Amino acid sequence: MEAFLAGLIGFLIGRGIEPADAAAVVEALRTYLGYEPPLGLTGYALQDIQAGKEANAAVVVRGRAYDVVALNSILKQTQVSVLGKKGERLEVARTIESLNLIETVNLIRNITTISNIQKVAQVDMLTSIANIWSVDLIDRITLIDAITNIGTLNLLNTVNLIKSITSIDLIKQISLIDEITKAKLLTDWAAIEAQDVDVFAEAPLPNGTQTTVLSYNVPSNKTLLVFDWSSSIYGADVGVWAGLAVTSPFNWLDAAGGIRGFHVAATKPKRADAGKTVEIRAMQNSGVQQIARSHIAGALI
Amino acid sequence: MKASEYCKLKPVNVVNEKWNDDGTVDVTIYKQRSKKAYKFRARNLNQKNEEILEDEEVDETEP
Repeated sequence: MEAFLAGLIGFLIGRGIEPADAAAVVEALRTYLGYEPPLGLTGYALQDIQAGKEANAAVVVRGRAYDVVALNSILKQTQVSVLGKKGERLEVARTIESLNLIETVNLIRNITTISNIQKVAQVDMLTSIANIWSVDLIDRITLIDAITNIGTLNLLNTVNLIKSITSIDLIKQISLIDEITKAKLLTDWAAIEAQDVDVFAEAPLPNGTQTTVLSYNVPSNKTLLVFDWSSSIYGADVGVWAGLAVTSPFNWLDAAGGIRGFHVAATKPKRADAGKTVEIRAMQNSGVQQIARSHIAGALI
Repeated sequence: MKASEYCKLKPVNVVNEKWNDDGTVDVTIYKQRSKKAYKFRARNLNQKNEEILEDEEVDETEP
């Protein structure tokens, strides 16, 4: 059919009809036949969307993905397709400055503002997202000004800078956040995803000798982030000193002490790479051997 | 896979260590959603001269 229509345009032009008129005739015939152009036609980007908005109808962006580069706005469209087929998905758009009220967005490289979207997947760069029901699998976001009122934000692998967050769940790694009102970070993520680890050890602690009282080997292909550790001693009013270390090579990561023990909630997780051994080494000077009980809590990422 | 090897290669969620006066360590490992905990006993735990004295086989068909 498409070959026929293209041939018809050529035929009409060959008969002296202006190209624009020939295209209009073919478009009228196409509308009459109810025939929708297939994938591959170009030149139907922003103008088509605006026409669709005015008609309050479904928008079909005919053509390939690069047809929608530099769209300024898509508003209140529930049916947008970029791949030449009608549907409820906007797929494969390189750069869009503003998106509103679209049910599903897949694989957008660069979005300045996105809001009221039911579902978003695979966005490389976002500066602002809000009021989204579900966000899945966003990689490599370098800057987000604000994330607000997101129902579920899943598998946000790496975010380098977020200025403001009011509500997000299940984020694996975020660095440099200016302000968080409510967010579940490493500890919650680790527990929910069963990537948390608790190591508890009970060990004899001789008098006056620094002794290893806990030892844990970080498994292959994982990094241990220790965010909580403690050491306590069984005897009454006995002081204990202990340090958190990683080997090998041997390095102290943290140290603390106290009567009967202590607990450290690290302000920054202590890192131990795959294959390294995390240890707690303790010492006491009560004059007799004591029993030390130690614990580290962390996440394996 | 033996429990001692599993503990070093695979992520587990709970590790309990009981260090004994003779230098051995009884280690119990547990993975969330697993129905069973597994044990091994080692001397010089996690050191180059580590010696595994007892070791259980881990049922890797469990989730």
